[in-house]
Amino acid sequence: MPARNRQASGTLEWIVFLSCAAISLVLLLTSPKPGVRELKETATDVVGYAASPLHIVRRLFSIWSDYDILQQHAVALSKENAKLRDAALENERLRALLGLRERSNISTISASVISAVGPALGGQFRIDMGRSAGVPLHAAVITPQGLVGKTVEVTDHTALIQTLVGNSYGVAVMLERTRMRGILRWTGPDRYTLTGLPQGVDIKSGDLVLTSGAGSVFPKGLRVGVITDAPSVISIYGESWLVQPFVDLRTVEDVFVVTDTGWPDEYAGQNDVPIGGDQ
Amino acid sequence: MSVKALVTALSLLVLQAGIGPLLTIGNARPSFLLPFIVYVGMQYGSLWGTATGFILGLAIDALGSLPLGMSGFAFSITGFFSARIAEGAPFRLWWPWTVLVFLFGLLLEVLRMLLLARANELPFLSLLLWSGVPSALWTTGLAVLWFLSPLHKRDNASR
Repeated sequence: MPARNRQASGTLEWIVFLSCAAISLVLLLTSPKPGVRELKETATDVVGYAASPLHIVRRLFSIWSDYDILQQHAVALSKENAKLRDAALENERLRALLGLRERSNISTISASVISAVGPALGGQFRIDMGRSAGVPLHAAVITPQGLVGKTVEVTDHTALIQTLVGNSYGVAVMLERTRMRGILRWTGPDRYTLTGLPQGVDIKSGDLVLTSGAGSVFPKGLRVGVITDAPSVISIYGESWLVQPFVDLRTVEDVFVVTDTGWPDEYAGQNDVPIGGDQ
Repeated sequence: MSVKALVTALSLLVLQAGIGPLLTIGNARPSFLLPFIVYVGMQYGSLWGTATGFILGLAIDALGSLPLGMSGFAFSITGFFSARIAEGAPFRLWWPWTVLVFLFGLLLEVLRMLLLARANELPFLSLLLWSGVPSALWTTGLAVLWFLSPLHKRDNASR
């Protein structure tokens, strides 16, 4: 290349370079101005559209870190969910307990189950309230759903509850619809039988079974269960029916011990006139 | 400039905009475009180097968060001076190439950090040390890959 041409080419290169540098600097200094911002936005749109297929590549690069993050979130959310679910159940239970306390006129002491003897069957529970809290022996124990059992042993700070399970006693009950009285007993795992009813009595599946109040332990009108649709069994003792209790004894956590039924105890005998006594 | 170089330029632009941010290690972000501009400068001369640097710089500024003109300015300098400095340098040896890319990478980072420090009232030297220099080294690493790739081929007829 002749020297003159080379010099011209060198000059052109410098001119182009200085022009590019100058334009860049001008743009740099005027970047915040609206016109330049619009230009930038347009360029972003155009090149961004061309680069859009790369989102797949970008996703591939970030997929593992996203997975880790999501997994951590899932674990945290799962823990939180379990905690909230527990809180919701506790809330529901406490609301029900509060509701029961408000709508019944019987005096109760609330207690929590601290241990269960034979939990598979739900035979006995120990609660965290005892004599010092005013829990009496042979007191009815209930939940908002219905009857649980009665206290059979009371210490200063705990009490043992015996449920119907084990058939150590029967509960005097009545049918809400017909007011017919009978005895409810445990006759096997998940099997509660209403006996002592005359043959051919008017009983329907779904009839509500309540405590009758006959006997000094269970106050009248506590919900116990419903008559199931299983056919009745006729024996020499009469007709018996299967009852589905309202309380699932395997899930009991909080209970009420009935300390005062609100009515005079007909069996207490305090005001009875002694036979043959002088008054 | 050949069609191959044009296609390479566009591909690198899209790659820089697309996966450049994903290749950030710590505070170091590589530049795919810088080695290419140095290459164009060395291969096709300062005119093409300047023009390529200017256009690609503006394009990447437009796509990124940097002020328009910043990369255009740095890349124009890169394209122009890489051709001037490397004139007569042993092109097939790795070290002139690597040193050039590192120096221009550092220039780009100095400009970027100056702007960043000024806009956010941060200490410039600290930014340069913890982000600028690692970024320039990362870019130099990419330049070594470029050097080893078939793209880095001397075309004697092109200048």
